[in-house]
Amino acid sequence: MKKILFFTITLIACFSQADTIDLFKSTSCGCCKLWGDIMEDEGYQVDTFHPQDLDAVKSKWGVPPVLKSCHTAVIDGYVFEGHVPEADIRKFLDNPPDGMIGLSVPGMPALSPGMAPEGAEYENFNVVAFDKDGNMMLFNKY
Amino acid sequence: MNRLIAFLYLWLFALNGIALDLPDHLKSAENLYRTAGGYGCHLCHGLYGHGANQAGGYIRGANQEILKTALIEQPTMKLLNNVLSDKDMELIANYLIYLGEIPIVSLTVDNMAIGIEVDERRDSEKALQLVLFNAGFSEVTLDLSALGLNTLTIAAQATESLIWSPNSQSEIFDPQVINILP
Ligand code: HEC
Repeated sequence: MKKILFFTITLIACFSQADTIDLFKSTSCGCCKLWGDIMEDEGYQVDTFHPQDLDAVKSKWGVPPVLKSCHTAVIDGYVFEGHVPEADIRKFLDNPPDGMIGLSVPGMPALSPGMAPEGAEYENFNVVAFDKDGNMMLFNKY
Repeated sequence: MNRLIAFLYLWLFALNGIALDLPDHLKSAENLYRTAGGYGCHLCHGLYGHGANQAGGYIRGANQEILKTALIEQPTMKLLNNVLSDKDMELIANYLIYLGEIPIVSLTVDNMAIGIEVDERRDSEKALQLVLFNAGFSEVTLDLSALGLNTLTIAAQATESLIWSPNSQSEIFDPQVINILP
């Protein structure tokens, strides 16, 4: 019984581990924080960092410069740049497309999570998957 | 001799297009525009203040007054108000005013189709800025020869900018003549 309990706890620990987000943002970014808040509401633990040089973080994690947004999030070794909806992150993590290292919503579209007014439908932006060499593919379209 | 140089200059100008030739004092303004707050205004307003389908939209021509008001009133810009000095705001406003003087034509290449937004102020006298965005996920090459420009290859999701001058081939810029090469 003790063993099973231990196993279960370890299992839970593993899963909650997978749901931790390292969020890299600037102190003067409000929409980045709103995106983090949405992810917290979705059940992720968000650890926020404010590095001096955000570009260094983006290039370290392989975000192609043309796909840059404000904040960079790292979950489970994968990188999520900008205002990526939670549903796409979930779908990506459950089944990462071959060779792809992350997703981006480039720029700051008005109707994306953290940018859109609360309750508004997500609309009018692309979610782009990329590999470590900067090759890209469309992952989802709103 | 001077004529030859002038001819060569025009020829180069016509064939290559030229980059935005910012006066020195605005180069740091452009840099600030692209890095303010640790990320940059361009993410919400486009690399050239042209909007680029982002949240903030077109702001070319905005003066310091308009900028200051936006920094106070726009919820998404409020935190930037704390990190920009009066001098910074003046610098950025000068840059936006400078851009506002240049008519712009925005082209979006998406899956072998070209979408175009043309500044109504274009005329046969004024050089204009051509901003080309490749919305696709692989590189595209454009044939710009009808405009007297070289072919141009744009990487996936990248934005290129050229200055096009009416004295090259046709009097007024006609976007219809641009072809996507296979
Ligand atoms: C997070 C997104 C975001 C960032 C970053 C941002 N803006 Fe804005 N900006 C907006 C939005 C949204 C508006 C309102 C647009 C509207 O009303 O259509 C706006 C409005 C403006 C306006 C007023 C436009 C008008 O005609 O009233 C100016 C000027 C402006 N921004 C300049 C800047 C500058 C310069 C920076 C960088 C220092 C910047 N913005 C950074 C989102 C942003």
